Amino acid sequence: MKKIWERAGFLAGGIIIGTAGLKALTSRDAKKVYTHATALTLRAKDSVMGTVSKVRENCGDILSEAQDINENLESDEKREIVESE
Amino acid sequence: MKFSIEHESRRRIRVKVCRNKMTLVEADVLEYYLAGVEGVSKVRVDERTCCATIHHNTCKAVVIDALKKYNFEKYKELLPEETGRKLNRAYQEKLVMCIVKRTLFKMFLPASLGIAVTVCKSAGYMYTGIKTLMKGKIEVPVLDATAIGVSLFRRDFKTAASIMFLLGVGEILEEWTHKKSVDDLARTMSLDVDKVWAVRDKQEVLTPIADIKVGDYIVVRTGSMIPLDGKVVYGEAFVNQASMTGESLPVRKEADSYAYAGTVVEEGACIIQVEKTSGSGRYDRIVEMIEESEKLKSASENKASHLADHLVPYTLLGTGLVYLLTRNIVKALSVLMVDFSCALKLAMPISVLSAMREARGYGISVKGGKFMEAVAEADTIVFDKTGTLTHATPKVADVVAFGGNDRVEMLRLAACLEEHYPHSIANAVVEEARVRGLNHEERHSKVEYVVAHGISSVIDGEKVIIGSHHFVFQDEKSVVPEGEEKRFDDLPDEYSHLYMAISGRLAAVICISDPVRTEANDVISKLRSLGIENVVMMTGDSEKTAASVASAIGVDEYFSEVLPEDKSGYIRKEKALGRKVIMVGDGVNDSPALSEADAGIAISDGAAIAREIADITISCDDLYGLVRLKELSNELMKRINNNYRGIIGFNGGLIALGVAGVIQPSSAALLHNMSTLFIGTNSMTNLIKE
Repeated sequence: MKKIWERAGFLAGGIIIGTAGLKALTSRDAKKVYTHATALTLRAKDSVMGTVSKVRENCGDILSEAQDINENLESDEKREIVESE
Repeated sequence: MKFSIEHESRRRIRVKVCRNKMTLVEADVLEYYLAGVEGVSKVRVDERTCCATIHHNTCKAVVIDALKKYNFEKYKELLPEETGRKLNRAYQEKLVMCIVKRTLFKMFLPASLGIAVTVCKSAGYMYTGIKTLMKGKIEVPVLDATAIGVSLFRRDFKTAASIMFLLGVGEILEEWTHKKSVDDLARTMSLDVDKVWAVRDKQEVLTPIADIKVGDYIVVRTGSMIPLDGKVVYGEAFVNQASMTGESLPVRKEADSYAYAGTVVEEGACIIQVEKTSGSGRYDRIVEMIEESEKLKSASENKASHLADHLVPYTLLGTGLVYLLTRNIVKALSVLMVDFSCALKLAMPISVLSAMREARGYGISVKGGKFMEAVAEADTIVFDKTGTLTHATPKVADVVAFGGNDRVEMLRLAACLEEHYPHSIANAVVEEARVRGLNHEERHSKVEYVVAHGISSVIDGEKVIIGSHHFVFQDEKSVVPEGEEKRFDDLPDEYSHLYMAISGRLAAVICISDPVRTEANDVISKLRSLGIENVVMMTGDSEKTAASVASAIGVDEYFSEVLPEDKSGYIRKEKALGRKVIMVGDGVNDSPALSEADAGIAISDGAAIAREIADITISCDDLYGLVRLKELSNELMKRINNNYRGIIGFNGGLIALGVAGVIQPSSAALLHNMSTLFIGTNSMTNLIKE
């Protein structure tokens, strides 16, 4: 007897989820949520791409400055040479 | 516009545009403007960060000065129809997103869901694998499918997912490579034809394309691209419409037919009434046309997958063998797990992409990786003399009149007829007339072009022909006026001769001097040292002229008085002998030979059709572009082979160690991925070091 009630409960729950739940998922408010979620994803994507570009540019900065340092070192090492006649 | 200096070092400045956002066009305009500033060697404007990175070899002040003078509205005109920024952006995004997605999946997706996603994704690979197998081929898709399938079968979903990830990245890179090369080529081509022959007051006038209005009449002839959409009102032409319809056979156009912009007149001439003016999708059409010609040509597959394909049977065989010997399925599968094809598929497109980018830096655009392969393997190079070995600008040295005609009048007449054809000798005649101040009214009827022979037309009821010795004397049966045979025989040999006959009697001989490029000799010897064994020269000139040029520049073989079909015939013959042939040409008459050769190279000043058919176009001022191309191709092949050996050797070692049980599968996988990454990054560096 208890089992039957349990089953009936599940059935009712299923019907409610199937109708009201579907309604909720397709409602105007839900659509708003989806829109915002999509916007968020797009923003996230943009910010990821922006970060990638920024990292790249900063790597370039570091590389060029490093090259400068090495060039300076090289020119420092060049000693003046005097040759006897 | 305000800029803030974000970073500076000796030869590099990074400035930020003081605003939050930049459109693609704004970034493009700034990049084009800065690239044109003297002393600036490389510019990169990123629209996402609003930063311009400027590499220069002058001082900071020059760059700052240039930035001060910048004005968006003023320099907007500089921009071509397409710049490729959108394309690069799209693929960058795809690539980064692919990596981000993978990381997120790995970090946050519950294991059971991850498995479901992996299984769903693998279905596609399984399908292509089985399809390839059904065709009786054992190629990369089969290996991919086996590796993925076996991983799934062993419930090793992580490996399956990472195989698919690497394959996906490789695919994106491959597609990017291809799209980018097509895009670059199309851009250079769409910028090209900017002047057309318009009919104004019954005369043909060379007019900038921007000045053409709807309803105007324009004339298009053999070898030219139809610049604008319109209706044919007069004439007859065979037009290659592959870009529109995919049909490679030329279509006949006559009065009332519709002609489309971007299609090419293969033979004939017609007058077109313009129905749509410039700017309507010309670029897209050219892209389609190039892709079409690629499709027609891609009988052999590109080197990257070709190499990987070779490996597939061995990998499968190895797996089977290990199983037979050890009777241990885990060890056998370790062969499959260290998957060669991932590394190969990733490293090859990167190498090719990077080589093409490098080639573009030297003014060489290549339509596909396989043509660089062909150049690297080539042992025979065929030159069309005019415009390649010689300067593209021959000069009129002398005009010798016959039959009592006036020299100046003859030159005027010749120029009048020759001005309609995009050929270097024709240009010389027209130029000479212009320099001498000879104006000419268009008083002839329709001009007919006989490919590689000459042209004919009717003036005041008399038939006038201009062309080679063969055309004028054998084909048209013209004669030298009586009593002037001696003068005719005494014509100087060092010049090329252009013969003009009126009503079947020789009227004049125009002597054309076309000096050989000074670097030709050096270029040929350099090419030899890079692996070319057989240098061939083809020319429409007489035997004597050809012989003297041939000995001066040191070619192995030369052919004089050749016709277009002879050129392609020779190439076919050489190919049948098992040689790989490069053809270098510039004109309408080289087109069949260019498409016949393994790699057809067009020199940029040539006819539009030659550039469309050619696999590679070079826009350098000298012939050293050829040497650079050959060097690059050789180096590329060397790199690809090194990668190939490196990948096989290293991973082969991993397999051996795995089978022997020395290293764990997880450390093998790590080493495998590290080596792939290393080879990939290494492949991005320049091939020719400065």
